[in-house]
Amino acid sequence: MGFEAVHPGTVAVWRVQSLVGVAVVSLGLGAVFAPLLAGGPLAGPALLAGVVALLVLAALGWWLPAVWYRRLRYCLDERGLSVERGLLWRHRITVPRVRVQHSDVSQGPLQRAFGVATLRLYTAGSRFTVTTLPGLEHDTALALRERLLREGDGDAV
Amino acid sequence: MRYENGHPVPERRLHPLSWVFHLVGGLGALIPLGIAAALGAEWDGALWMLIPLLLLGPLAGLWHQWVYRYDYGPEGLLIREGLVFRNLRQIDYRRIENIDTERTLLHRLLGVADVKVETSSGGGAEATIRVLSVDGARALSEAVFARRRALVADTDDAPGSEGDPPAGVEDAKHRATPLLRLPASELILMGLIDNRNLFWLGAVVGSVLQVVGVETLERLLGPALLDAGVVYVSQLALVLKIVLVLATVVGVLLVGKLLSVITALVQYHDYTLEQDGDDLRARHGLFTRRTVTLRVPRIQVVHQLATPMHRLFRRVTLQVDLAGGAAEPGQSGGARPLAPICRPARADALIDRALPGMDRAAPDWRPLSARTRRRLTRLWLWCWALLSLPPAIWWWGWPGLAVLPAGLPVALLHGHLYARYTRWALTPDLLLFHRGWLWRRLAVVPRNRIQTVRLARNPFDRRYRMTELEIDTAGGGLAKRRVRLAYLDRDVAARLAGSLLE
Repeated sequence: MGFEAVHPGTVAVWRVQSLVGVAVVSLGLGAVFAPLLAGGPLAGPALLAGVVALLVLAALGWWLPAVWYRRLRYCLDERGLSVERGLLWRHRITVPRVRVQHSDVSQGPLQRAFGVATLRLYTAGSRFTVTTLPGLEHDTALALRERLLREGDGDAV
Repeated sequence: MRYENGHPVPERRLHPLSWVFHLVGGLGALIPLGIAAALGAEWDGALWMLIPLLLLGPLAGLWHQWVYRYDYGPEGLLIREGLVFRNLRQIDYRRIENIDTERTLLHRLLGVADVKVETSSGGGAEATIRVLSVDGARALSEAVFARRRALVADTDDAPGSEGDPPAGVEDAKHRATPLLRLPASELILMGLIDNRNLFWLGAVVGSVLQVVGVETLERLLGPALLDAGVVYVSQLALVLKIVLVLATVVGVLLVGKLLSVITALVQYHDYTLEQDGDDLRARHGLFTRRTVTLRVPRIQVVHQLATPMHRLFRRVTLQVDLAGGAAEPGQSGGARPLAPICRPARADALIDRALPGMDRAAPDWRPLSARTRRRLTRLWLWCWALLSLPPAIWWWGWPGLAVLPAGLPVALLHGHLYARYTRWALTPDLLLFHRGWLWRRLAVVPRNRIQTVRLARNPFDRRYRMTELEIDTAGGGLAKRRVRLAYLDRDVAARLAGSLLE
């Protein structure tokens, strides 16, 4: 089966998102702990620990999106769409064409800046009702949905 | 049915005694009255002001009964509520999946029933008609399903699928022979097997004994034990604790089993399962009489469960997952019992009824990966080591390491038996999966009900070159009833996923 990678622009999106997340968390923690520790004997070590933790988190936030990107692949064949992802816990989920109830192609402002979009497929299942494929080029996502649904008319339940 | 400006207006009314069943709302108003009375207020005080509150229930009931109308529209069941704020609801016949009736003792005394109309949207009944006479309820059900069949036959024009001739009345006359009937003896067995309320009871009894038990026991048994030569206080305490634990266990078992026998006798009194046209219909209950309709096309998975107690009495339990997973209160997420208890031989026939046209004959059972036994044995040894080593070393120091080999037989046995009893089979129509050796579960999944297939590999799977395959259907969803084939060889899982998706 020919699995394809998604658009590399998504790495940048994820990096921005994770770095913003790290910044928000560290600002929040700083706002809570700075008044508590200021001037005390623990201020120096605490500052050092905080900076180290921040650097580690930022490095993870920079590195993990690239790894996620390498592990995220998809494949559209005559049966349906398969999405493979995951770093330690790897899984491949296959949604048959006839089972797609409806689908979304969504794009946030950040994603729009980097030209990527997210495709979501909804099934009538009970555990995996939504299958998400992030990081597609917007046109690719629309085309993929078009190709997926064109032959997908059928009994969906 | 009459028409106003071309729109249908429903005309059928509720049973004249419907207001009685709205008294329940009025009973809530009794609570402040009761509290006031209990606090010693006197009748000549302000208490009479509570009387309008009391009348609220019956009056609301009478109002509801007066304005409520239902009827069979051309496209769906019509229900009109309210006169000032009117609400006209239409429930499309083709979407109606279930019409259940429920009768408490009061309903049965008055010869009426609550009618619940369910659609596939899930999340409970779409409409509850409170109340109709028993004949009225039956007529409603027959009328709706006759119209449903006619509509489906019109749109599908595939005569084989669901398009039976719309002959609801004849169906009623040829009321089929029961597929399963549970006499009291079976229900007692079921109560003995079931241990649903044991947990709670255990928690309650345990905590009560914790509080009052030790001192009482010391007072009661202490002198006798002292006479028997148990001199040292520490010994005495130990013996007392052992006695206490044993008494708790025995007491919990006895009371718990008694309770579940009574529950089973009340809840499943006179359980009958019948084939009714396309549907399976179960009726049960001593005080509250329930009718549960299982629409066969909605059945997604059939589960068969045999606990050690089941096997002791040579019985199994059958449950089905329905599409939509309409979580009934008191039912666990979308699963309905097909047979609360039955003999294994009977179970096969019932599964055939629940999944008609699906050939289960002579499945070609396939084992799990050959490495399963080793992996499970190691897993259990690791768990045993993590749980037992720290306390053992704490108590006995380094000799405590001797507990490690003690876990080996159990780990070996579990690995061996699990790998031996867990197996799967693929037939042209079905996927069968049998799991476990102590608690044995069999899941029967029609291949055309599979929604998505997921292959997963965690780090351990990768180390043992295995893959886990999980199937999603439109029913179920509860963790216990996931259809998840773990410990498959990697290529076997990939091939199986491929053939499931064809």
